[in-house]
Order: sequence, then structure tokens, then C-alpha cells
Amino acid sequence: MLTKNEVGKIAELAKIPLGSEELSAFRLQLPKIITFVENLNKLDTKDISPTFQVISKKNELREDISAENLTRAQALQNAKLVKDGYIKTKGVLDAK
Amino acid sequence: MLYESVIGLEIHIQLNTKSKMFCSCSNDIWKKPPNSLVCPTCLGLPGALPVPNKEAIKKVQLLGLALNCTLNKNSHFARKNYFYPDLPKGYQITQFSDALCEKGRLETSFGEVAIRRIHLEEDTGKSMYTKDETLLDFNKSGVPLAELVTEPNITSAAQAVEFCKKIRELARLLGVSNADMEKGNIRLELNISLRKEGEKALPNYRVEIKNINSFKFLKNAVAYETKRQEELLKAGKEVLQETRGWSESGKKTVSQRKKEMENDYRYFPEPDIPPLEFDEKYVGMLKQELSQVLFYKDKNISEASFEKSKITKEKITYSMNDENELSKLVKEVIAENPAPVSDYRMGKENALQFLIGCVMKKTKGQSNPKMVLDIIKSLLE
Amino acid sequence: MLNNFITLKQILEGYKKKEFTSREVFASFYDKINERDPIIKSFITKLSLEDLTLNDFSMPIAYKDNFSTKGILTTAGSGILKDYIPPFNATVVEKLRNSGFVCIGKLNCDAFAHGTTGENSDFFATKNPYSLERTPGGSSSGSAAAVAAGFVPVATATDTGGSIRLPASFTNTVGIKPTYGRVSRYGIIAMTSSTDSIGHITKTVWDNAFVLNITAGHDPKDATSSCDKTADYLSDIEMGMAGLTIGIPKEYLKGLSGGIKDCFNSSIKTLEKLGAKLVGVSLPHTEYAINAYYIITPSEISSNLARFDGIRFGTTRESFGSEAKRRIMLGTYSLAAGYYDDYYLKAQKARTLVIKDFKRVFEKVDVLAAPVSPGIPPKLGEVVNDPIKMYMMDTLTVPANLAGVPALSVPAGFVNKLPVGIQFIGKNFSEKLLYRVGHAFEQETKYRSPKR
Repeated sequence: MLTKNEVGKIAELAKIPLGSEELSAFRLQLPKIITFVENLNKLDTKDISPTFQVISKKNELREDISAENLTRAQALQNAKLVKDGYIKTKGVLDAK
Repeated sequence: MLYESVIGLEIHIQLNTKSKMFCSCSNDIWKKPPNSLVCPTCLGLPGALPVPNKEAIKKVQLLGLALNCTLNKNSHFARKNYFYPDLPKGYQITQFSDALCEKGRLETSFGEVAIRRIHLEEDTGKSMYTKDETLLDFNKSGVPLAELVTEPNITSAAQAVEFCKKIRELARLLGVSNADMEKGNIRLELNISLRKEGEKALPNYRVEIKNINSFKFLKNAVAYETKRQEELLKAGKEVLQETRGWSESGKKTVSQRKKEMENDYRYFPEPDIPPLEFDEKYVGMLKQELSQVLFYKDKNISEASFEKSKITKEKITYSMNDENELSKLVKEVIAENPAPVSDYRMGKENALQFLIGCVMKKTKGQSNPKMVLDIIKSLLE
Repeated sequence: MLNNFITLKQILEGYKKKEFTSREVFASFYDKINERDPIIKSFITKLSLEDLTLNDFSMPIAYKDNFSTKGILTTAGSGILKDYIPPFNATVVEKLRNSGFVCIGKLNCDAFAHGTTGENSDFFATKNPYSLERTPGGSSSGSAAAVAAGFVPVATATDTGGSIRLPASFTNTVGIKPTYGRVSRYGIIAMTSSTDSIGHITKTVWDNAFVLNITAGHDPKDATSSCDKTADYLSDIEMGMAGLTIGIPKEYLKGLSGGIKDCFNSSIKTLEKLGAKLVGVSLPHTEYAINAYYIITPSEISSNLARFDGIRFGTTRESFGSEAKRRIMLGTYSLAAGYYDDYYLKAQKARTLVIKDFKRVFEKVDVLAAPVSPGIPPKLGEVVNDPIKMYMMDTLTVPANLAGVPALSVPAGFVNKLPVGIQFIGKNFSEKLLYRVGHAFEQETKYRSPKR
């Protein structure tokens, strides 16, 4: 079961900054949703293999050919901060 | 009390394919203007999707075969989820279970080093730090990267260095990487712990050391860390399980404190890429190619490298050794390929390679190229 | 003559007979948009008619706002992308453009397609043209409302757990959720990579098949797109359903509201009248599909939304709306060390059972027929604050997504004057058959009034 402390930790792992109001809302809500999905525990899946993808094909590979890419202007056009062709972000500790 | 080091290595090798791992951006990124070799996929733009590079997979498998690895018949990519400004998607496409290559080995003068696995992944972008900002260049994002992981059975800095040098030589020999350490083509990480001499069990901790950019750093880092850990253990203290970085300027390892949560990478199979499957025929073809490469390089490389290639070559066995049978096939090839034959007679050595290739094809890679060469020469001269 | 019920087919025929010009056609759609969209609120971005480059055969289209359109704002309904201009087109956008479709705008949706009512859009809620106090369903709220209101003959959409079929059924329109991999996902802002299905909403089944003829097919940029040959989805559309066996899954009839049940029963009679043989079938793991879906989906979402860090595009992660945050949190939890086996892996095993159910039943029947939603369109504000209630609206649509099979939602009548749909579910790559069945049903019932 999801404890209060865990909700905070998960928010940190997911890098979702939560205000105290949101945090308390999630503390109430998430356990309810988890109980809802835990209905699956009624299902015996012991000898069942998982299906991660529904397509049956394999080896969808690309030939090693280099082709067109974005112009630098296109690559940078949506970045908030740009300097000398680099995309800029705040100090690494802050950004991390 | 005497202690011995227990060292494991992780070697990242940038592959020298023409295009990147999951997109068709050029892989020739050295000294290119920042963010000039990017596309929606390697820039992690919403909606862009990865398609794996066939050649990158092959290169890792060639390296694996040369290191006596088992090639997994079934393999797949997985997502490793973590946040970092130079990781554009917030996850790295890598492999978790079913790596391309597993369980290899390489001989060193201090004994054999067991290789746990070699897997394929994408490189991250490049961060440059100033006082209060980080500058990001995503040209390196998506460069194909082989990650070779050894078992922790290296016992000294000298052995670690020899092992890495051999891997570098082999990567060049096989043409899978330019293997230029100065350009960051090869990057090292190690894990190290100490146990009392004579003990067999692995220590109950390990310290990871990152940021090792040269063989010299590797040697220095092992020496420093061995001493540091030994002093702690002798004083009856515990060694903290942690990640440290090598600081060449300070000539020491420095703790890179990380919250424990950040090590939870939440791996899961990459849903954007169908699984990989390799049949016998494909592996046979790779073996054939490997023997050709090693054979061809034999003729052209220095004596030292020749020795190394022999180490790996000897471990490949050929089931097709009947000289009469081979002569018959060679005659067929000579009859079918008049042009290359006359080229060879005109002195074009390349033509010889072509003819050997044809014979190898007929034997599905199961003939010894050296034998084939001798037969062709004897029949044409 | 340009009337209110102009379909792609009518436009194409009109062009051939030179009854009207493309500029007249576009102008008539723009008139409707200018008149009613201020009330319905389906568009996030509207291009101006003067800026469009039209030729004699241009046809209007609008894209759900999670389709990347080069040079045109693409938000996915999320505030985090309120300024994002993609430097590339989604493959589907490219294909439609090359076939003569001209984009007139981008349509509202739940942010990142997370929702069943459209109210999770970070911008505004779209209203149901049939009842302004109700939702048009989601997540493709703008797409369904725009087609229903006659703003555009076709709108693209995505169906990850029902996001095309549900709004189509709530707005009296036709929505296709193609087989997973039939239409390229390249350039569509990902929600759940393993179930995202790219389709569209139209007024008629014929129009719907016409558009799939353009969008279906292998894309070298999407490794999960199928290499199987596409069919001509129009070629057998008139063949009717006589002789086909249609399965009625009993699990899909549980918990239906009274009106929906009656409506479905009358639809069944129509199918029989049209010569289909009906058989009751069972897909025993249907109940679990919704549970598995709400593990798999948040898990993949937590990873797919990790790229939104405000560095290369968009604003920072604070700007995620509450549903996105909720799903990211849930998914991070299900994938975390110590929980993976009990949640993510368990759900993927349940998925195997759901797939087996469909395989078994398609050995006996050609097509399944089922209601799309257990109830009528909710009122705005009715479910948006109760996540589980909102998730439960997906119960009848989610199994097809988990299994990857195609499903077509077609108008099936009205309950309290509100539209209700029926879905035909087929085996993988059976879209052609679904169109044949859907078309026969539509032609017999004609629930979509031409006067609307």
C-alpha cells in the first residue's frame, strides 16, 4: 500500500514538483486508484507469459545510411535559452 | 592483513557506423558545430520514434564473437528512465535482459578476464558546465554505444589496463570503432572492492568509479581507491557502497552523492522497437565475416596486433577442413569469376579477398580462410 | 449545392461535376466555424482561409492537436506545449497533405490525450454539439465535436483506450480505431506507445474508409508499423453483411444504463434483419482489461512524458495538468523497483489473457458488435474530478486497445436525444470487413440526419 512518505518519494523520482495541496490530494487519490487496479490480483497469471507488444514482427531495422536532419535553426527554434548554438539550461544542480 | 582488489570494468565503445543508433543523422560528429547533427528522434522531440541501425547491431555482435561471447538468439531493447539535461527523452534506450552478447572471455598475461555481457545503447548529448549554466550539444545524442561489462575478476590495475588496451586494439582491428580515447570513443568505468587475500566470496559492497578518460587515469584511480579502501578496512571501518568520480587534478576519487531513489531506473521493454531475433544462418554469416576480417587484417597489421588477432582467431572452429572438397569449390569459384581471376593475375590483391569471400559463402563460413587462400594461390600460380 | 451535411464523397463528386470550387467548399466550412465554434470550442488553432493554398481538388481537414504539424502550433492540449512549433510533420499529416487535404486547424483534446471527456484539456472544455451542457467525450473531444458540428468533413484523432470511439459515439459520428501498427505513429505525440492507434472521425463510413486508404501503410520511421499490405477499404463496402457471423459478447452488456441497453438491442435486430447470424459469445477477461490498462498506460506515460523538461521545447514540468501528474505518478510507482512484478508485469500478463479471449472468439465469429459506452455523454463537470469514474467510461473500449484489434464506432441511435454508438470489433487487419458491416448498418439506419 502506498504510504504518505512514498507519494513524496515517487514525485521526486518522477520529477513532478507537487504543491502541498496536490500532495495531500494525491495521498488520498492514488491509493484508491491502486486498489482499483489491484482487482487484477484475482487473476491467476502464474503460467502466463507477458505481452509487451501486440505486433508479431521482429527485426525492424534500418540500413546504415545517413540522411537529412534538422537545420540548426530548426533544432533550436523551440528552446527557451540558446547561446552560441548551444541549448542552455540553468546550473546542473538546479536542472537535475 | 593483506587485501586483494576485486575489479570489474564497464567499457563504453562508440561504434563507427555512418548514421546514429536510432535515426539517420550522421555519426561523424567530431568537432561539428553544436546541435548541427540532430533530428526529431535524437533531439527527443514529441512524436519522434527510434528505428535501430542494423550495422550497429552487427558491429556489437562481431565484437562479441571475437571475444568468444554467446550471441543471444533473442534480444530486445529496454528503456532506462532517469532525468538529466543531456538525456533528451528522459530515458536512454539500452538493453537490460537478453543483451546482444553474453559470457565471453579474453586472455591477459595475468589470467583470463570473464566478460559478462556486451549490450548496445545510445549515447547521451554533451553537457558543458560553466559557473551558473549548462550548455547542451545534442550531436552526440544517439551515437551507437557498445557497453562491455566484465565480471569482477580483474585483480590489478595492470591487468585492467592490459584488458582495456586489448579491447581497444580489437575494436580497431574489427573496424567497429575508431577507438580514439581522446575523442571519447572509449570511456571507462570501474567498480572496485577489496577482500582478504585467499577469500573467494565477493565483498558485500562495491564502489563505482566514473570519469576515467585514459589508461593512465585508470591506473591511478585503481591505485588510489585500493589504498583508500584498505585504510578504511584496516581501521575496522566499513567502505560505503557509492559512486565516486576520478579527479585527475586532485589525483583522487571524489564521492558523487546520489539519492538512493535516483538509482531506480524503472527499466521496461522499449515499446517502440519490436524484439530482435537472430537465426543460425545470420550468425554463420557473421562468423564468416569475422574470419575474413581477421584474416585480411593479418596481412596488413603490425606483428603485435597479429598476435592478438590470433588469440581470438584460434577459438573459431571450422567444420569444413577437407582439402579435396575445398579444392573443388575453389575451382568452381575460379570458373565462375573470370574477371577477378584475371585481376588477381594482374596483381590486384583485392581480387583475392573477393575470391576467398566466394568460397566462404559456398561453405557458409565453415572453411578456414587461410586454407582457402593457400589453395587459391596454388591453383592460380 | 453546399448543404449542412457535406461529406468528403459529396465534395469529391461536386468537384468532378464542377458544381462548386474548392474555395467555395472551404468558405462554407469556415462560415460554420465562425458561426458556431465560439460556442462549441473545438479548435485550439484556426488557420485563416486567406493563408491556405488551395487547388481545384483540395479537401479540408483538421488535426487533433497531438499530431505534429510543421510550422503550426502543436500543443497536445497541454499548457506545457503552449508555444511548441514542430519542425516536422507526422507521417500521417504528410500523407494526407500529399493526397490533397489542406489543414484548416488543430483540434482540442484532453492534455496528452489523457481523459474521456475532453475536460482535461489545459485550455478549455469542448462542448457536445448535441447538448451544450454535455461533453463530446474524449480524449478526441475537438475532433468529434468539429465533425459533428459540420466544421470539417474529417478530423484525425488517436485512440489509446477509446479516445476515438467514445467521442464518435457521443457525437453521432463515425470513428475508426485501426489495428495497432496499421497507421504510422511517427510524429503523433505519444501517450501509450504500445496501444496508441491512429485514426480519424468522419460523418459517414464511406468517408472513413476513404481516409484510411490514405493513412494506412508501413512507415520506415515507425518500427512498429505493419509491413502487411493494406487493403482497398472501399472496394467491398457495399457488399452488406448477409451471411456474416456476428458475436455479441455478454461481458460488454453488463452495467449498461437502461437506455443504452434498449438501443443496443434494437441495433442487434437491425443486424439480424440485414442477414447477419448472431451468436452470444464470451470474452471472460474483459473485466480485467480496464485494470491492466490503467497500469500499462500510466507506466508508459511516465516514461513518454519524461522528455518534457522545458529545455529543448516547452515549459517546465510544473506546467503538467493534474491528470498528467496523476498518471506520471501512478506509472512511476508501477515501474519502481519492488513493484514492477506486481503491477507492470502482472498487467502485461493479463493482457495476454485478453488477447487470447479475442483469438478464441474470432475462430467462431467474423465480427463482434458491442456498445461503445455504458452510459450517455456526461455533463460537463460530472466525472472530471473523479478519476475512477472517468476511467470506467473506457471499460468497453479498452480491451480492443490492449489486444491491438481494430474497432469501428458507428451511430446507433439516440437515448434522451443524445447520440449513442455501436462498435464493431474485428480481428487484426480486418478494417475492410468492419467498414462493410458498418456501412450496411449505417445505410439501413441512417441515424445521422442530413439536416443536422
